Amino acid sequence: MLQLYQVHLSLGGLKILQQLSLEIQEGKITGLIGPNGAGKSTVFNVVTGLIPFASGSVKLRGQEILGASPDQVSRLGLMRTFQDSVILSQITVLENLISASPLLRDISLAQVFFRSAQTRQRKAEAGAKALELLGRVGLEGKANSLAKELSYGQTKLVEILKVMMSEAELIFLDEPFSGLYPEMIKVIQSLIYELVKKGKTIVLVEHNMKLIEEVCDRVIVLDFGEKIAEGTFAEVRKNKKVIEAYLGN
Amino acid sequence: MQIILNGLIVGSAYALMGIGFSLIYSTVRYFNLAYGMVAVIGAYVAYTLMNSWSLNYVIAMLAGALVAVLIGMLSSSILFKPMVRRGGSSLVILVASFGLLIILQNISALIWQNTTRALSISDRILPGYNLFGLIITPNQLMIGAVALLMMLILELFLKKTRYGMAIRAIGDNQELTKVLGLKTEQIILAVYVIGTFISAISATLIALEIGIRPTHGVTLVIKAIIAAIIGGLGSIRGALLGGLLLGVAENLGIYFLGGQWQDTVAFTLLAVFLLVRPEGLFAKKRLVSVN
Repeated sequence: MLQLYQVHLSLGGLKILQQLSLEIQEGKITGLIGPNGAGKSTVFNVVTGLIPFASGSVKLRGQEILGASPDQVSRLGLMRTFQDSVILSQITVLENLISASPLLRDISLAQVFFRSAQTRQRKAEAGAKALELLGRVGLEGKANSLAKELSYGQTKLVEILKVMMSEAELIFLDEPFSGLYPEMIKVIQSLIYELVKKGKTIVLVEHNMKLIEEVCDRVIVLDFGEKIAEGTFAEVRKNKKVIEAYLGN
Repeated sequence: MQIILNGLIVGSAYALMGIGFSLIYSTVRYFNLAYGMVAVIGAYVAYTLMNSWSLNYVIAMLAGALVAVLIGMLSSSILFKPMVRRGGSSLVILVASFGLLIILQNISALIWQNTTRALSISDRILPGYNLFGLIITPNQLMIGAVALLMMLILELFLKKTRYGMAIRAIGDNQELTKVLGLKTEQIILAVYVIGTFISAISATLIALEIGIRPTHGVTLVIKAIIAAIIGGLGSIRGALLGGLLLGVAENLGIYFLGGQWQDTVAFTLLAVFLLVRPEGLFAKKRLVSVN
């Protein structure tokens, strides 16, 4: 699904990613773990085009995407969430969800002046789907509230719902469980399983190892921008390099 | 009351000017000083079409606005967008837009001379209407009606269409909308089209009150900036109120102090807001110190 080959990134003489090569398998949940500063979120930023100056190669379904802009990457079917939840705070919760749907990605200049029946139909469908998703997590009452009025946990939920609206095939989730209480974690966990059931591929950055063990099919461990281990959670937890990276020598 | 009514009418045109400016600023996040001058060229084209081709005021105004839109799109595509792509700061773009303002102002002076051109909806002097004891001229009625209509259309467009939703989303967080896959550059171009169209309509309306001069490009962009800052930069509703407030304040200033104090009143109003409420009436985010 996604291959990184010898991806290198230096900032001000500091090596952030060092000839990093890894592969994400289709239809699986891959955990990307490592100590703080290992480069996990940087991998997300490089792949999604937010950091455009890395070298090497990043291929999504065989297509080179390194250097592509974030909107191009998104339109190729990759959607992400952020460590510090970011949503569009000045528009409504419902509009946040619709803004992640393909409806707004397909927009053309001519549509400033003309609106076809098909467009109206698609807008209605996107609205209905967004309301249905909000209803499933008990946020239907917030649909017309400004997103800035949501709590931290609700914002995290809306981020996942946006991913579900996007119809993306590859999904990067950056610490989706952090700071959440157990019931909320279960809700997000069930949404992630639902995405996998639909054939989506998920890459998950998370510090909670119990959740990584529960959720992920495979785990890739980074340290100082290098891949130091890969395998199932049971395999990597025994790996000497991984133990050293987390606990020190 | 008559002074306040006059102020509200000219203020509605200022509000349109401020709304267009605010709309563009909310998505591009830089000041375009040529904004008012492009609008004035739209008004000049309307003037030419009315006088040379005897076109009706409204049709000439729409045709002038289309010419302004073309210049606005060209300035965005040829000048500002490449600068943004090369990482040009908002200050660099501000200076470039000032350069564009000077060029367009001089071209306008060459074509239409450096004199005031009067514009009216009719060749004849039409009687004013009596509205509960207040007099409203046909020109003023045109200004108020068109400004109100434009604002309503814009409000509906921004609230009800997906393009409007995309514009508001970009105004909120452009980086995030890129991650969501929105074609931000294309949407920003659309914002330029809409913002410039509104500004040219506004300039042609204001010309009914003060005529058209090449130097009005500077005057109008300053009015737009004051209206936008008073209202809260990036806020459409704020620019509307800011424009109305500016129009009333200026007219009260003219009545009590004299016409030569018009700009002083406008800048005093701006200074008061910057001191007391720098984020404006409807700021999207309250300004905070980084230190």
